[in-house]
Amino acid sequence: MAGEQLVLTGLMAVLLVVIVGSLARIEDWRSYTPLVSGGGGYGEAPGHAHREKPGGVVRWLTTVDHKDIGILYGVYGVIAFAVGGIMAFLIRVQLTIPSGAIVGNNFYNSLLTSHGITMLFLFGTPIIAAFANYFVPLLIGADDMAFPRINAIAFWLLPPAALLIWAGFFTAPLTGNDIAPAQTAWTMYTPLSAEQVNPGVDLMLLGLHLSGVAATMGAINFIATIFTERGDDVNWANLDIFSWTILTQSGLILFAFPLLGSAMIMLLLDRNIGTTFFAVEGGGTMLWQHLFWFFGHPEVYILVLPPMGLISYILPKFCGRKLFGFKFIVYSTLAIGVLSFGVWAHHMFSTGMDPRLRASFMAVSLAIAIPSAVKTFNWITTMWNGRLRLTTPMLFCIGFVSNFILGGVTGVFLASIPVDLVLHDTYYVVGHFHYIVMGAIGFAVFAGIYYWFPIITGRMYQRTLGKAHFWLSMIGTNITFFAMLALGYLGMPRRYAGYEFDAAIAPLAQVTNFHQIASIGAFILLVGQLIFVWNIVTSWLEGRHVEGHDPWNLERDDMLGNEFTWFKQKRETALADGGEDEEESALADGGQTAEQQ
Amino acid sequence: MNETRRGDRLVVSLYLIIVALTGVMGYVLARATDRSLQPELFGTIQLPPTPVGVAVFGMVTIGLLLGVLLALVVYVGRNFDDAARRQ
Repeated sequence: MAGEQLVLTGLMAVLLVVIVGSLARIEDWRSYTPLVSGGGGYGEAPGHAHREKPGGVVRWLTTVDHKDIGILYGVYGVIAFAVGGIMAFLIRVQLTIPSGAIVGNNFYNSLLTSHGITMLFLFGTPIIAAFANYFVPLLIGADDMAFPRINAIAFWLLPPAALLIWAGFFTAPLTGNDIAPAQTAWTMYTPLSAEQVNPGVDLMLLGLHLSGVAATMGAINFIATIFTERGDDVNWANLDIFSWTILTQSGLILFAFPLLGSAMIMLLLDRNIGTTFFAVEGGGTMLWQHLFWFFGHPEVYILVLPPMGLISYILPKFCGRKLFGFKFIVYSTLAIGVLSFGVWAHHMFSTGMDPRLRASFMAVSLAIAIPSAVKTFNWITTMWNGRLRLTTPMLFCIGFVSNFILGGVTGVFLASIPVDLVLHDTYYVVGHFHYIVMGAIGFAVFAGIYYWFPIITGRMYQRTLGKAHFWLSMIGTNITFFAMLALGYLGMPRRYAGYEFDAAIAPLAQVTNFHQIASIGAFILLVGQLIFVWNIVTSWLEGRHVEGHDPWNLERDDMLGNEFTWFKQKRETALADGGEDEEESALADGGQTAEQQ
Repeated sequence: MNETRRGDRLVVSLYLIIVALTGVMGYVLARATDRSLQPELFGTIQLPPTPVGVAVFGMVTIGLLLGVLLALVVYVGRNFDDAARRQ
């Protein structure tokens, strides 16, 4: 026995050496970062530079270029959005009839859990990182992120995170449901999550932990980059609004995600080695809720602040004027960042917590609406005196403002304890936060994708399809989530795989009708997103090349951002290189070749 | 793509659409529930407990609330929006 183990250990050691050796031989990856020389600013001569990036898959596996990593994050985010969206659509199909249309209760619970976790952790955070990776260095005049290799590691932690989170869907049919996808809901409330014996929960927790580590590494990198890598002409006074929101978001991640990681390790210990952190005889089940929501509410702002930054950045471009009240938008961003750590218990008003504590959390929850309202006020005032051009990104910006008002106002009511006690755990809550996560965050992401599509691909998307995408998304969002608000008024509890109603509470026919309306809205949304994917993929492959460096005609209003100035330099460098192959031109655009230096 | 619209007109249109939608929502919600809703405008004026009464309640309340904010936007836009004046 001992001999066998020795042989196994030896084999593992040999395998490790082979892997390390292979990796070292693939490419001299130190060469991809200008920081390798210890310098990094323009004009500093690195001691070693590589002539061009490797081709094919190896380029994408080994890249530490912030733009490449931004694209990797983007592709990853869109795939996760598709997976989470299909899960959402299945959920909506299931609820079209009271007894559930297509799947069993347990599988429904798995879909519900994975939909939430996928959209928040595998789509929301990564897609923001996609924009931030690609554009923050360009906007602040940096060569790259402060720690390019940490940047790459942070991204590459995400695919295994997704595989672990979704693992149960693959292992369930192979193991006879012994290892099934987690059915804890995304909040993982104890004692449910501590006592479910399914190992799929452990896999999901490990995956989630990994995604948290990735987000934290990314946040450290953004903070270091914005503090230390800004160009000479970029200071705190003229730092763009998107970078401000990324900086604030990174601060929130730094304080929130490690706490989630710690809480999840405690939960894993409770599940596997008999600790009692969250057991009734130990720390109690409320402890999980406090720890989770201390992370969970800042997470809402981790997800919404950068999209607000995108809107604040893009909306004025199509109003032909500067953003109204720039300073106040920055201050409100910082205020939201601070206040977001003082509102977590509004998720727990109905748990029986101390009423004095409840009142204080209600006050702070109402107060946090003020900086959000300041932003909305400033966006509308910016539009009021503007000359609007209703391009696709602008339509998504206007859609954001409209949906954010609906999501925000419905949220203010929930902050009030008496209203919350009636509506808690109903579809009203689901409708409210989906107006924010889909109607606002999703719309800002689309605005960003369309606005920067010409820079990333050098091509223009198909405008008619872009507008069809907007209108289907806008109509689908409002049908689906308004129906959910109505379901909440009727008393429909969230998370259920089916429904029956005492006629004294609400007529079942009405509840069924609203569920069906919500499902029709989801179908419209699905069609819109299919058009989006088709448009992006075909336009990327064979769309019309942009003719100049200013595809939005921003120069006319003196609104050209630093990223488009970079785009101009890239195009000019490409012309200067005329005759070179495409890869070489791209390298010359992205940084500086050894020859140039 | 270069065709421009006046921002103030679009904002006012959005305001009117939102207020109209509020009326629709009030009507639909009152129709959907058997519970007797007793809409009271500003907590004092009793409106009829019908779908139309609830729709009026929603439209007047939201119309007034958003109307005050819109008036504020107009005031600030006319008097304090230096960036727009410069451009």
